[in-house]
Amino acid sequence: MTTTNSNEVDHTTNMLKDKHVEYIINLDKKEKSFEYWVTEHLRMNGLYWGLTALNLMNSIDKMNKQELIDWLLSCQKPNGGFGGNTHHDDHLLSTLSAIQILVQFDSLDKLDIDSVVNYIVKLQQEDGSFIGDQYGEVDTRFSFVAILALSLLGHLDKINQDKAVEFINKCKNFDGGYGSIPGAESHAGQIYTCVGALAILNRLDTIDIDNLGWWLCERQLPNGGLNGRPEKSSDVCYSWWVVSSLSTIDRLDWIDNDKLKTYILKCQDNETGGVADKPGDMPDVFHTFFGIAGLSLMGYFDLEHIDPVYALPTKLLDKLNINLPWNKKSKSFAANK
Amino acid sequence: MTESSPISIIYKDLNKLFDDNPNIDELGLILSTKDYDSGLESKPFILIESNKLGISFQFVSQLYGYCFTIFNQLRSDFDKLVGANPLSLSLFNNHNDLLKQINDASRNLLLVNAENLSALNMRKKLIIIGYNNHMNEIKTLNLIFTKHPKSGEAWCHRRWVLLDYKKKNNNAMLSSEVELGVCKRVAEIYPKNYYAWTHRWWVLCNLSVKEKLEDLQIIEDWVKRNISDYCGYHHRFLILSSLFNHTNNNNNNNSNNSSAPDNNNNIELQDIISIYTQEVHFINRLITLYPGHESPWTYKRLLSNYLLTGIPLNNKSNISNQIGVNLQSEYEFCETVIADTDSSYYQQQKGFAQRYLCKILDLYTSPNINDTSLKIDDINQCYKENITNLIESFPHQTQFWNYKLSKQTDRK
Repeated sequence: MTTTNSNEVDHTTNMLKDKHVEYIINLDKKEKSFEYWVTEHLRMNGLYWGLTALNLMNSIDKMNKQELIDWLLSCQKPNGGFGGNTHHDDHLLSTLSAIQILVQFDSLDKLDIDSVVNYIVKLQQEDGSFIGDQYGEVDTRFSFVAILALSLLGHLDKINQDKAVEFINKCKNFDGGYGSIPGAESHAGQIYTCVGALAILNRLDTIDIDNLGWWLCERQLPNGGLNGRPEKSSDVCYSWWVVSSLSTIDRLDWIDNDKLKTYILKCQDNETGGVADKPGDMPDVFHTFFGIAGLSLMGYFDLEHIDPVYALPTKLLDKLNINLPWNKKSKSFAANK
Repeated sequence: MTESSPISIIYKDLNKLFDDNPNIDELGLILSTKDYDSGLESKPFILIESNKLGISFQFVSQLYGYCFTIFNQLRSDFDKLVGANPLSLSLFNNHNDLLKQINDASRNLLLVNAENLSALNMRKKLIIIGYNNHMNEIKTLNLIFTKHPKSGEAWCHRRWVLLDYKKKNNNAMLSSEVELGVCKRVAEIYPKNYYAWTHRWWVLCNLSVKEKLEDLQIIEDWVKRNISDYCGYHHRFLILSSLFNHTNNNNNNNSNNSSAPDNNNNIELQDIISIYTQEVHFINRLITLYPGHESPWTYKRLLSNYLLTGIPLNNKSNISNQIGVNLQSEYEFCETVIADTDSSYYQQQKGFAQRYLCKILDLYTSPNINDTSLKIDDINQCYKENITNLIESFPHQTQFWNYKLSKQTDRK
């Protein structure tokens, strides 16, 4: 028999904002458990996820800004790139997270921008693709990450943009989706990165919107949740990757938003706060961010609006005067019409 | 922590275990409890048949933490010795033990967390200076994959090892059999493994048509045993759609494998047609035998769309007709499936058939296709009825189906 505590909120219909804020600000205080060790190399990404989720809930002031910036800067390597944590090698992915964190702390001026720009620009290959670090792995994720980072730093002109588009289009599949390298299967996460990169480079016209939109809206399952490929189970992370892609190509109404909202709410942990990948699973900061970001993009619960491409609050991007022709809530949207 | 602390002894034991048993090829983390494994709960490692290693879960995080500290110290010693010099083995002439310790520590870290980028990069450096060889590294990765089949970073590292070998050995592939083998094993441990399948194609796309067709055969059995894993179908599509680049009358010498004799890398158009014909039969049979699975339907839609609009040759419709795929044949296939109300999982199967039919009707009205086989009295009425059915089968996508209908109406 279930007893309902008088101050317990029904998490299947309500968003547990206070609990999520508590969950995120306490993440760093956890002891060095198994979970700590298998994620410590991702601390920079983790901080970005947590911080952005807090920002969407208007609670970024709950973090110790100075301490975090000092730590962040200690992760920069002599070559300009950032590592995932103090003792780790540099990588493009953690470099973008560092920039996205500094943008949110309004502290880009703390950064030696030229050294970071130089680091990123060197990673572009002759065929237009980007590698993730000096060891040479190619992935459309890296194209997106490089383009997004350079755009935030105002240095997109330093790379060959036409070649970058050309490579992304080589990764387009016959079903309208995109994969990680030419030939690789369409995957919702990779689609987010390719659509995002094309959006920033102003080349959404190269997308086969009808076919891609069809493929994306097929990802919604009868339980309301989204998967990332055919016949996979639903997972909250796709509440961001599919929803943001649909939003960027202006087809968000092709899935049932209310049903997805309910699915995300069911993935909340009503004891500890935080959001899990599936209802009943353990929450983590990654899925907490993706769940809250999805709700924000669909316009629920008065959350701060997130941009579907930059994955940062629209308000902040407006302040930086970044052009967001796909974002109806941005100040640049009207100007583009 | 002192040299003789309990965890340092466990750490040394683990290294000795690997030294004494170089053929360890399987790894597991074991949750043991007093109730069930009397005596085992306090043992950090179990070795079965001298090559299957179990590590007790209760020691893992302490061991990893200890190893992490050691590794960072070793790494900084390594960097100091290298200084501003280019990497080379001679820098370590009097420090061979350091390299052995780095090898042990980085491997131990990766057994628990295969995503540890810094440990993987350190292992690259051991290869660059010639302390480790490529084949042994592949062996270590095979071991790591038995526990971490979905580690993206470990797959990246694997590609780096293969490319580095290629660079140093006249463009030769280390061993494509080993690569295709590991992809298959890993795809079985972890279904729908994106990394393994992407890697499989990455290896295969440089091989000859003959080898690709052998792979098509191997994957046929795999698909039969993994009906709902779309990765296998996508892989088949990659092989099939690559064939047209190798027809005798369309040979523009675009193979990267210059060592393969031409007759392994050329294919007659008639052979392609017969391979595709078998494929269409294969997929239709799977759909009928195992109703209600989305993956084979998604594949069928892709394949038909490709055959009707995507073949990179001029006489497309002639070829697709010879293969036995035209709008009429596909329309009839859908009709038969939808009429078979006795089929198990009928609701799902019907929905997928309606979705496929929608694509076929789209193609009929598409300006780029000149297939006039379809005989329907009133295409608009048929389209409209199908959309009504689709809204019932997939109510979440109602707006999308309405959009399709409005587009169809505009077209006529």
